[in-house]
Amino acid sequence: MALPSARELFSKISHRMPKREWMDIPVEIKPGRYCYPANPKSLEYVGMPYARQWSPLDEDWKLPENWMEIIRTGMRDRLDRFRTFKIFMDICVRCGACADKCHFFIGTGDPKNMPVLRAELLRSIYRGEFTTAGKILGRFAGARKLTEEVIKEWWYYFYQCTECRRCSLFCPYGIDQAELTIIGRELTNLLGLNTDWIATPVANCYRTGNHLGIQPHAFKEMIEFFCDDIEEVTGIRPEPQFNKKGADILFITPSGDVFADPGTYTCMGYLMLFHYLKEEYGLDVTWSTYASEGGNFGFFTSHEMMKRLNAKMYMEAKRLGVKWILGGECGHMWRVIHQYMDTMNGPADFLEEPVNPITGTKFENAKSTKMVHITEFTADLIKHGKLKLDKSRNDNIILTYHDSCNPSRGMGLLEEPRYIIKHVCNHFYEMPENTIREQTFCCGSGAGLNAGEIEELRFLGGLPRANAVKHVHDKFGVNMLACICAIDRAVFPPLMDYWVPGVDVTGIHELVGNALILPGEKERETNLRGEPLPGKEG
Amino acid sequence: MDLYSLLREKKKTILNNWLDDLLSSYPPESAQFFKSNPNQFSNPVGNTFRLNLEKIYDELLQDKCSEKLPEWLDGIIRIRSLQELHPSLSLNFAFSLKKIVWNSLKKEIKKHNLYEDYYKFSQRIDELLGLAFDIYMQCREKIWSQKANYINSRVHKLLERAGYIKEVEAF
Amino acid sequence: MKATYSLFLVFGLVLVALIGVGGLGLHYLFGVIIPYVAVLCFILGFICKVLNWGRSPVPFRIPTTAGQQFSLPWIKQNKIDNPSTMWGVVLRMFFEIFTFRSLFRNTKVELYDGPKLAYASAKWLWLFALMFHYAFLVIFIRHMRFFTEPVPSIFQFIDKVDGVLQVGAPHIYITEIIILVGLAFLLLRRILDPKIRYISLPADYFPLFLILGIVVSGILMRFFVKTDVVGIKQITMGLVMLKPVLPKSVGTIFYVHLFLVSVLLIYFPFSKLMHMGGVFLSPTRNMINNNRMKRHVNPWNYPVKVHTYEAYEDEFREKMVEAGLPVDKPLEQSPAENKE
Repeated sequence: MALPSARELFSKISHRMPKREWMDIPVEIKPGRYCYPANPKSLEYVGMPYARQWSPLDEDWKLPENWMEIIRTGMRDRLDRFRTFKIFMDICVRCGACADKCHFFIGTGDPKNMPVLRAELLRSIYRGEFTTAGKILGRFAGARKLTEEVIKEWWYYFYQCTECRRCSLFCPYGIDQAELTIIGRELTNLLGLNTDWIATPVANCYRTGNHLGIQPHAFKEMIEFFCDDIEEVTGIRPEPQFNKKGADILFITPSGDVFADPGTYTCMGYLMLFHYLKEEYGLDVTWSTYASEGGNFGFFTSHEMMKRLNAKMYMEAKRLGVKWILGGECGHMWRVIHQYMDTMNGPADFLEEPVNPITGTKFENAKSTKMVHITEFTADLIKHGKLKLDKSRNDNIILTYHDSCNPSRGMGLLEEPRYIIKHVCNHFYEMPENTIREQTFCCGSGAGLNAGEIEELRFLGGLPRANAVKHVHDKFGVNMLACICAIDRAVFPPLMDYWVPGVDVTGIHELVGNALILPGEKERETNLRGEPLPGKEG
Repeated sequence: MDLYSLLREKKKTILNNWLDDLLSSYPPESAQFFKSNPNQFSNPVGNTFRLNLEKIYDELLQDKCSEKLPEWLDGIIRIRSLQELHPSLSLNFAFSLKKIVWNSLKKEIKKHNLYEDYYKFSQRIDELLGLAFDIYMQCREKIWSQKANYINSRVHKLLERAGYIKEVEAF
Repeated sequence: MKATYSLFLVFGLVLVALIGVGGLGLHYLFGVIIPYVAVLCFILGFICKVLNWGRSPVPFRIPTTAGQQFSLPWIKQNKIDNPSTMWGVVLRMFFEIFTFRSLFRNTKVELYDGPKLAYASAKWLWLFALMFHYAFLVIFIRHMRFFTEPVPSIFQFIDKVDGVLQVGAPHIYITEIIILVGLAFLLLRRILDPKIRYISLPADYFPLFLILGIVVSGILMRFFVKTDVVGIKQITMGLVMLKPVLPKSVGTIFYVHLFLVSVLLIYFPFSKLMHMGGVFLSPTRNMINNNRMKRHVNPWNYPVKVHTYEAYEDEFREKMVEAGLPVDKPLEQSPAENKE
């Protein structure tokens, strides 16, 4: 990146931005604010159109010749298929209630990151192309022409939205920017405009079942590696089962838990829990190497791609003949399971209505989709006193809890994780009210934005969250941030390291694993991370 | 009449101008949001700027700056170093204090011949600038070290998976 | 700039009515034809728009959940903000529509320092929006006494309550003040707040100025440019009974008022004012969060290409067997093996 000359710099300093209307301000593609374009091979593998090499910094994005036609047809098609799209295009009154709710606007101060404006990028084209008023009155009715500049702007800003839905919460009409971003990204995908951090994981998930492209034997090896670690800490070695036909329950978790710290410790927590339940109550759980990715990168690409990747869950459950499916701690994976899976790939009539075989609890809320969230499952076990726990082992931890966007605003999973936390941890402090539960701030890296090249953007987007953590860190000495999302677990460690050094990140089931007293275990000296337990520091 | 009592007297105006100057690098609609929303959680950027500028200013008026000064500077620079691509723009707020103090007090400085005081004060601002550069570099280095570590650990994992690491360890 | 355009447009409309009725004497056009066209336009336009929305299916059930879900029996559910039943949705929509619940969410401020007024603006938006909409509703209902004979007691009652202050002669309606205050706030907010100014379109100022024009012409008619109320009632009843009459005693100001209302009615279905209908149809608010309980059907759900287990096993069989993973087809029979 060439630095501008001193003269250029001085002309910028203390120079208030000219008062111009947003339609007149051309998009400025800044390095550090966009993800690299997709590797053409990845797009080709899953049959996405117009795979090619291109650069966002170039003038020419090598759009297909008939790109205007593609966009027009694409929009019309989606207007016919999604009532949300139609209504959200028509009814916004631009009251501005959402404007300052977006973590990217709060952090970067880029006015086009206001949710309403991100939507107007689409709406202005909708008006110009599909409404009579817009065609006649043009700019007066808020319409503008479809140009290559518009496509660039779309691509730049739709990939600066994490689909966290915080804005939707405050909208008097429930306009959901996530829905618009999803549709906007579908449109850019029609022109072969994507980002590599989404497209390559999509191809990998499709082929090998997980986003890093880890092959089946390596997947198994990784998990067995965790078993070694657990044995070292507890003296007990869990014996997880893979691809086992006729098991009671199929367990699916984001592959991030298998490959990336500190999610790996959460994974150990699952392994210990399942081992405990097998020993004590004979619960028969299997993992799958085929459906080894709970996270769905297709969700960040298009509805169709989401369906293609998600299909594996039911297909594998059917093949293995399990009773129902248990899902690990993940954010958008659960948005997909809760709001899309049954509709797209159901009905799951080959499965049974989920019942916890240990407590007899019927999971009424999952009786059609037949997939239960692991915090629902574990909370139920704890409530019925089925787990032996020693919460003092987590006494070195002063905890706060981050509600991940999707489970909170796309599901309403708020109390279950808190219930578990209160039973495995003695020191728990909530962050301020307007930053948690349904009002939670995004980590700033969801929806396929967890790429290294946009770290600056992600750190700014994560600032509101980090700032609230800093508050409880300063006030209560909080040193650990719990969450139930694999993306969170991947991005929070560096985010915390930058904004609030001294706060580490954990999943809920790592805490469970540490507190859980396995039958016949040796006296533990350390926690799963190999750090000395309270009272064993000496 | 000395400069420091003037600086104390006009603190409010100077701080206000200073904040405005800092915010002038943003589009007006964002600047207004940063300035007007006083909730520390829904507007972390604006509140950090406002509160920390005041604390920095207060420190500069002390005979000797406390060890808290880097912390206040850090709060602002940590944000600015991500928002701006250019170091000079990130740290512009530290440069601009001289200009703002001069503009607000030049009449009094001329009238009471306080040039020597002003010179001393601007030297303190220069010291502040030095500190600001140190912090700026820490922030940027943090980011790059994270990137480097990320790549490193990925390579390490790949090697490990390929079975190379064990040989090295055995050796 | 955008605001000025809209303001002049409304001035222009007033002028059209003044010249048309006062100058050219086109009473029939402005008193009968345009109102009929406007009402027709409004009704048809509104219905068409809603039908058009309704024509697109709701492929997925995507409510925005704003509270604890229905899950385990001992966990307290937030039945309104995260409804799992029809009744919950009805309540959620009721609060949304009658109390602007989502806008009210803005107000929750726990810890803050510094000047309080600035942040409160979020609360003001809720308050003034509510004031404006309710005042508009009451004024609308109150006007029904012009379109009914005998006037049902409910309209008389509302009229009486609205005029309860008994100040001035004819006495001032409370809603007249409230709607003016509400409009002024909504307008000033758009003009003065840079953030809102940035996102505003001419189409945001125009309805505000138009409604302001309607309110001001109405107030003028009652207090300053007095006109024959009995004559107005004759006109309105004539319109209702489809036997239009146009008494000469009714002044031009009435036609200005009527013309602006007609413009509003015509403009309504083509503009953002359709949020009145849209709010009922918004899928993120009007759907039950029973996603995992009851399957939602997508009418255009189509089969997609998937990567089957068989294809997966074919690719990795050797490695799977080596790693001790169970396979469906034994290694010997795999095509790759046979070739060798």
